[in-house]
Amino acid sequence: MDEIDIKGALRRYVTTGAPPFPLAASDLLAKGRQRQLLRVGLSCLGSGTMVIVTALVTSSALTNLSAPVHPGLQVPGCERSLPAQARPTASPTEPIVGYTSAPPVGSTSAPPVGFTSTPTVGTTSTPDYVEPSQYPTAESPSQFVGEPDLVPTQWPSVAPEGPLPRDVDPARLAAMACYVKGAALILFPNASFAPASEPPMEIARWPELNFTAGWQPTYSVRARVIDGRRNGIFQVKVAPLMPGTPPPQLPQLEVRRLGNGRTAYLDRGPFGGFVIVDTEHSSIAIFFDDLLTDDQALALATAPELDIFR
Amino acid sequence: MGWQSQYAQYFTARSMPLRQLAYAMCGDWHLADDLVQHTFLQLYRHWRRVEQATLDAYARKVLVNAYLSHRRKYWREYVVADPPDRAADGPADDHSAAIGAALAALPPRQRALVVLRHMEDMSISEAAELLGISEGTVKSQTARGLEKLRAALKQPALEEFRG
Repeated sequence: MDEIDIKGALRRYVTTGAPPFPLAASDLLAKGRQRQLLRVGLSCLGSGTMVIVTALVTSSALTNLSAPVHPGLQVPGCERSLPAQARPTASPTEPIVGYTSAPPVGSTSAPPVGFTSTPTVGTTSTPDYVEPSQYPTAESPSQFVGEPDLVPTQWPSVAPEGPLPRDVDPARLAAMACYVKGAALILFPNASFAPASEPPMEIARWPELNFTAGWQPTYSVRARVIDGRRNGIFQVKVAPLMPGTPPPQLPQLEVRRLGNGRTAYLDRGPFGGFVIVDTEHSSIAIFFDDLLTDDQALALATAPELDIFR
Repeated sequence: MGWQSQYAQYFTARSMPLRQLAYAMCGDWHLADDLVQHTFLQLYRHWRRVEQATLDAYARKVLVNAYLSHRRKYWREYVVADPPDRAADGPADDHSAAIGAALAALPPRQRALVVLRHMEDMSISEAAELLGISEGTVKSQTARGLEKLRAALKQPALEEFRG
């Protein structure tokens, strides 16, 4: 088959059987404006214009006074409340913009309380096509390249119960939860919040094994955000950064050098992503599905309130 | 004319070609629509900073990067024991299905290069710049992709189509 045949075959492939185009310029203009407003909102938060922040939070809280409040929303030391979803597990009745090829992210697989591995966001969608991959699969473990070999460790394989040496002071955790809640009220002014597993924006703690430093506490604050037709998991996860920890190795990560000498790692696809910012003592990860822009996530991740292991 | 009117006009003119490009790469109309939406939202954000002469190149770059990023992020989800039934919006005929299957057998970057070079008529240098790779890599990857595509298209079901 020569080149002309290839071109003809490709042309025919993309012009036959196409369903109606669901997008319209007016919808995209409206959605673009909405995202722009959210970016402006977070920049106000990041620059410390607390008057505007307070006004936005207050107006948001006032407009949502009638919304039912989840009983677990009262984070210690934090008096603001999030508008809660009346039926936390219910799916939105309207189709979700931006998720036309997948079911609502995380709608069926919220990890159980007490999970011991990094929560996975956005892995529940079931593709309607199967495509061979250039990447290794579970059936070909010998093809894994770059995966470090598992090495024996002196640490117990079962997480110890009780406190760990690097456990963070509760007041600092409360400040973190308050900050994330305040940011959420600004970023999602018209949203309601439902539990991802624990109550929305409540501190969750679990131990993670570092092969050189042993079991370490990891803290997370998260919620499912239901914002009109958007629906996704918004999570802030902070773990201690051990000396000598190598940077994330995922090849698709975009690396950004921040002005304060820190480095940020971004993964941003059309359906959301995450950002990781390593400070001197903390590794801060923001998982935001399709709910935030890169700049919003970066501004949030670089907040001093999240550097809880400092 | 305000920039939003220009944006709407550009959407009217270019959304369908970009949708076809997205579908040629991903093989799924729903995902193609999502990729196009992502592309135009990025265009909205950067519209006033992108030169009009380079709008097409910028839009294609956003689209291709979004596709490759999506494939990297969600590749695990494609490895399933029991593939779901094909949705009703798949290829309309056997020929298109065979082309789709042949394209699906290519790794994402090879697939993107074959589509860019042989459907979009993009030059080697343009494709290299878009993907951020060398021209030599474009040539070798495209050649490998075409070789695999030709091999896949030698299936008996395509004899009639190949004529």
